[in-house]
Amino acid sequence: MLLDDSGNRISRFKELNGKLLLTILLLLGISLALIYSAGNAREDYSHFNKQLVFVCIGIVVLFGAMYIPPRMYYALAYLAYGFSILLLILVLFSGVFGLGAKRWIIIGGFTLQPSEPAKLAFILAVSRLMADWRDYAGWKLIGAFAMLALPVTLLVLIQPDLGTSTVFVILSAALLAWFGLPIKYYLVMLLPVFSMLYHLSPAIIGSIALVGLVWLKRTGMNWVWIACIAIVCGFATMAAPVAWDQLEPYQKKRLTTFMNPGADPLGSGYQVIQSQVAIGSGGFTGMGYLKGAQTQLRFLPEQHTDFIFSLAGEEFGFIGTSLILFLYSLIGWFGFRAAALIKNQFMSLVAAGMTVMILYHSVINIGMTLGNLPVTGLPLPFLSYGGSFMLSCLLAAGMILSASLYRREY
Amino acid sequence: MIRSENRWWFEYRRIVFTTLCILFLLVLELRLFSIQLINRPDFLKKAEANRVRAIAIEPTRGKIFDKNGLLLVENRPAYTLYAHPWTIKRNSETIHKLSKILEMDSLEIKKRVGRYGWNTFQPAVIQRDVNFNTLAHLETIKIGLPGIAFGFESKRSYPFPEAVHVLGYVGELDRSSASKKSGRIGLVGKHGLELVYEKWIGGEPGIEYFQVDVSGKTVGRADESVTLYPTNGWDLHLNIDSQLQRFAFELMEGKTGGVVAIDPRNGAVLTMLSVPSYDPSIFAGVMPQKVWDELIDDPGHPLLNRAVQGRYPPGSTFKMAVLGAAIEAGIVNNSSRAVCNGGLQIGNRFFKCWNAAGHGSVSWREAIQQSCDVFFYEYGMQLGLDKIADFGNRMGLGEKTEIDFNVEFGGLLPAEKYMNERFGENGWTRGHIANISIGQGEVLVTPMQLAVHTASIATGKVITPRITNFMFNPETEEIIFTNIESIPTNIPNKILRKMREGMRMVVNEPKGTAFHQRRDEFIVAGKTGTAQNPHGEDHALFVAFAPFEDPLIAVAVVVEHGEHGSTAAAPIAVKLIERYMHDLFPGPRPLKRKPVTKPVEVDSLAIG
Repeated sequence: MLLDDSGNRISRFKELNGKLLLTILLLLGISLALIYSAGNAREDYSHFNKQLVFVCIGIVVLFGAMYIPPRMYYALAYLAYGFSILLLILVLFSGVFGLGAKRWIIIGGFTLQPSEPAKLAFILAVSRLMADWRDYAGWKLIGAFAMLALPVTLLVLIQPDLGTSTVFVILSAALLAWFGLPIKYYLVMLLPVFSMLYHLSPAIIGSIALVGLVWLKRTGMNWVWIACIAIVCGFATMAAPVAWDQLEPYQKKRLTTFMNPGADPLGSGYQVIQSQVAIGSGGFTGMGYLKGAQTQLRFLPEQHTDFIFSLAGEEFGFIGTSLILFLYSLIGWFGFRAAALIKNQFMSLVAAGMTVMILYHSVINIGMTLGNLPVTGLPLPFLSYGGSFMLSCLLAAGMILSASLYRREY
Repeated sequence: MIRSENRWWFEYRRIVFTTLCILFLLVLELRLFSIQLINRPDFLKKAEANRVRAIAIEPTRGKIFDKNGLLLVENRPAYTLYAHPWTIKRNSETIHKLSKILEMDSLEIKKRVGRYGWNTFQPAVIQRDVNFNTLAHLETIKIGLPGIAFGFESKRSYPFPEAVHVLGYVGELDRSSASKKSGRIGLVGKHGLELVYEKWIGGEPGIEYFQVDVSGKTVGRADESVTLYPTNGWDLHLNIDSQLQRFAFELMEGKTGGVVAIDPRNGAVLTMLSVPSYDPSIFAGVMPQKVWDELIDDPGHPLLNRAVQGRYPPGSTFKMAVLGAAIEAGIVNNSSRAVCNGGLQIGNRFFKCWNAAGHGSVSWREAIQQSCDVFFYEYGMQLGLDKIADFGNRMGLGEKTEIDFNVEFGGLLPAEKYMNERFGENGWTRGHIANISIGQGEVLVTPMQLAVHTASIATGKVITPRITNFMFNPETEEIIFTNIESIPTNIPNKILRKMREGMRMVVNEPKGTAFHQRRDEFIVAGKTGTAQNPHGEDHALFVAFAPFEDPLIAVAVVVEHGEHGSTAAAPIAVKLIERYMHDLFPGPRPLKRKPVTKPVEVDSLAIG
């Protein structure tokens, strides 16, 4: 039985966040249109056909996920996490090689990218962990959190998939923040990481780190501890070049190319330049659907996956790209709203985590197509081609919708 | 620590997260604003550079005709195999397959494909004039060879081997001059008339704009750019008489040297021959290194155009200039004589005359007629080098003739300044002057200069030789004639007459060094020359003009290692003149000279 704020019985359907649902369906429609256009360019519509199937299955998954109550997710959280870890271990041994990494496994004829469901499972697991600790926030929680976060991050990192592993880092930070972890813990954890960037600009990084250490004193921390943290920061500074050497050549190249795409116009900078040219030549109204020269003559690489936003930019122009950005900001608005309003501590964390995941992918991907962020290979939620990612995004959206649907239940 | 104590955070965390999210998206939106709305023109230009390819449309090269309208150079159709480096780079097995089919070294193919760089769509020629069987084979398997294409080109064909030194040859644009924008792959003039008149016969390439996809495949015309049609080259009509040139070539068969015949009235070059010759068609395609090396190493130096590049001492053909200078300086007059006893003692060296028996007492007439060296030793030394050089310069020696050809040796007419620089102020003696006075030693000329010099004796002006008569535009039928230029020698007629008289006597009076070459129908004036050659047998020279009264042709012949001008060079020159006169005035003509055998009188026959 469902009661509203004044204790009257209401229909559950009334609680459905129709605007968020509509936003997502709209994005799915745009996705199909864009992938059709990319297919038109190579006169091969197999991607479009597959995507159509994924979208149909995904919508079923979305509605299913929407009606699953929070306690079910709570119950399945650790199981899902454990299963994801198993799949990630499996991919290390029997994964399919592609793009210089082992990222896919083949199950019954379908290729699955285990790192995609792992993101959702990770959010569920850490949300349950924090919800179980309830009011406590301290080093013990952080320790337990790390026990969950480290395995999944490292398993993805050694595939190697640097882009996806950053998703786990960002999700950890965001979820701890949503949970309400005091700022001093962040300082203690982030200062050493931050110090690793020391070599980029010693003066700026050094002074910011010093301010951080002084801030720690203000929160009442012992000088001895602060000195210890400072020493750790010093070691991190020295370890940074060693860590850099551990990166795969293609990753280094991507990072350096990001700094200066013109340096290698036909290598990895090529993609970014072609992407910028596509978006830029779109102008205000775009070249018209199926009429973008960069897209239709295939100068734009990976136009159905990583650079699908550039396709939209060329064919639909500033109007099209602004609409897409607006739709993502709506997801952010409704996602965090749902997370803030739900009474269930666990589901609040899940909804916030899912929203962060979707938005992080969006910002990183679009920033990449504009040449502002490195080429990390993170796809664009709801738009990029790819079954695993499409399904996990719709599952995530379903959980956000579930959070708004069950907002009155504990 | 109790988390829920932080009321503020739970109140505002949603706003913080939402604001952060919108802030990031706003940054992206600003960036989109700048790329799509402000910088759009730049990106449009880059997009166009991506997909629009300018392909040159090769113009048809002009033809070359001789004086009588005979075709000397024509175009014949040929297929050219070329490659798009950008595509080949991504399909490296194409090179491997091609090397098997064309039987070419794959490294060689790589070199050719990459000649304009590998990241370009500019097509690079792999093979010109592909034979039909290879073409048919390649056409059937073209699908498996991404990056190759065929072009239809016209190939230059030169049917006359005797004219190669005049016409020159065409070759591929070198990388520096290849315009990347137009992507020209055609042939341009590299040497000879093909180079000198490139501006006229080369034409202007047109440009066609195509739209290509990312693999470099043409997908259609680029609508926004207008096709520029090529302008075909003009035809070249030469002054060369190819019949005469062929005749000279036959006369020179087996010899080495140069033959030049010009019209002394207007400088029209009737014949410009250099032997040995070479096959010009080897320059039409991509020349194998081996063929080039063979040409360079050939001891006969076939690439050298001896008519304008040969460096020969003029020998006795220089004597007219010395005589003229001496008369002009007042050193020699009609009563001046020299006694020739077979040589002359100068300092501690005895300078021999070619005739060891001696010519006895000679005036300027006999000195030219019999080519007496002693006469010129004596008066040359009195005259001095500066006066000889000055006079020679005014008569077309020691300076470039400015012929319409791309290479020319300017000759050398040593004045005192030159000798001082070369040997030092006191490093040279009167002996040097004596030697130069008979055309030996430092003085050097080309056959072309000798012909111009001879013509200047005949006409009193130094004309600029012209190989080309006019350029003709076959489309508009427009004709542009080349300029006829001449510089008056400002030498009094009475001096010129004496020089001509001497030359007349050489051929037409007994004891003349070329008396055997006299003709009945017209009077030839000439001068033999034998140039000492430190590297072997002497060079034989002969210069002549004819007819004596109204000169229509001036000839210079040099036969390397021919020993004597009178026997090796003179017959060639006079036969050439004879042929030319026959061509000009076919059929019977009045005899200029008493025939050697008296004709039988008609009347007596009737009576008898």
